[in-house]
Amino acid sequence: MILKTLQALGPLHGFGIARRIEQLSEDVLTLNEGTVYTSLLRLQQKSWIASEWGVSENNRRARFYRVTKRGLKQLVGETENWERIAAVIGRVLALEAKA
Amino acid sequence: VGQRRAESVFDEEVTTHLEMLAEEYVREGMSAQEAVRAARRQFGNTTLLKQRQRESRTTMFFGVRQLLKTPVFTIVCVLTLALGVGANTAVFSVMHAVLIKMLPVEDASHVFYVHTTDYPAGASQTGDSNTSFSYPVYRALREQAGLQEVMTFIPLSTSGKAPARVGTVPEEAAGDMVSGNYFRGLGVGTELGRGFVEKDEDDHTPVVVISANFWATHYARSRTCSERRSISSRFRSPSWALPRGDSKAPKESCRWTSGFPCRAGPSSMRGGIRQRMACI
Repeated sequence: MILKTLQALGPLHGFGIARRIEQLSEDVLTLNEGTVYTSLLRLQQKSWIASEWGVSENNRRARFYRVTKRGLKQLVGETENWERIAAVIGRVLALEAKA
Repeated sequence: VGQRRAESVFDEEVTTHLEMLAEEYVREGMSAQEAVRAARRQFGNTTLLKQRQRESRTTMFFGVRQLLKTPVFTIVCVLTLALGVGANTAVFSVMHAVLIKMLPVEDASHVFYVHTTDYPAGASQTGDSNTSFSYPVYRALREQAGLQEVMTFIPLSTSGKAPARVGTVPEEAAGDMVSGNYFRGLGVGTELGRGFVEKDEDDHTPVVVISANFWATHYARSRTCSERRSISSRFRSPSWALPRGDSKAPKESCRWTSGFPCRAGPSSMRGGIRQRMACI
């Protein structure tokens, strides 16, 4: 989700990412916003995202995260994988409904 | 130092996040104090988060830090591994070349060096005494039943190389003078032309067989070239007999010459020029 958000919106700080995910999930996912940072660190360690200091829209010093080339590749792979699994599960559930 | 810096960066990030979140709550109508509390609630346990971040970083850099802390141990480990791997590779390369890899000839398991023991002292004048034989001995051996394929070779010089010239450029090339049955005995065919035959040996024909490599570098693999070449200042026509493909050609030797024993003729025989023998 973080990768996709960064890919769609460009470089973003942690607060922006948390906000965006919260908006999109429409209260289905209620996570503590702090957990975003754990994911960000993990993604950074895998070199899927990179970060640099910048200034936020309300003039605060903030760390902006952006997707790297490796991250984009990973995103494509993960998306395909998710879609495949979701499609399979969808088919299985549809079968059960008919039966 | 890195750990502390990372933690202070994370602290700053968290503080900014909490401030931004609180501001948003204030905009939504909360009081400042309430907003700060709500932001903290929404953000979650910062201590736990910090702990997780620290653990994550620690795991990542733990190994590296431990190695950097003890440089002597690290160097010893790296060198031991490097030498171990290197030595193993070297030993295997030698073993592969000596024990496993077969000669690129037809039936490598039936090729032997002919040795002799108790060679009379001083009787040998060239080459290794225990693998060198005089020409009459060689001829006599070949008369024996089942030993028709005993073949011989003599290096062109002590270094195995001789001056050679193709066209106008003089150079040095490795080669052997070999008996007429050399190629037939080894079962090595030729890409073009012919290998040596018995008649070459009997007539001392000045012909040369060049390796596929030499053919490519000096004749551009031309199939029609008839340029004469000079080896040891004697002109020889290339017989254009080349080993069939690189894999079959002994890589070390650039060419073989026949006309054998051109320099080891009857007069030289008395001088004691000897042939090394291989037997199939």
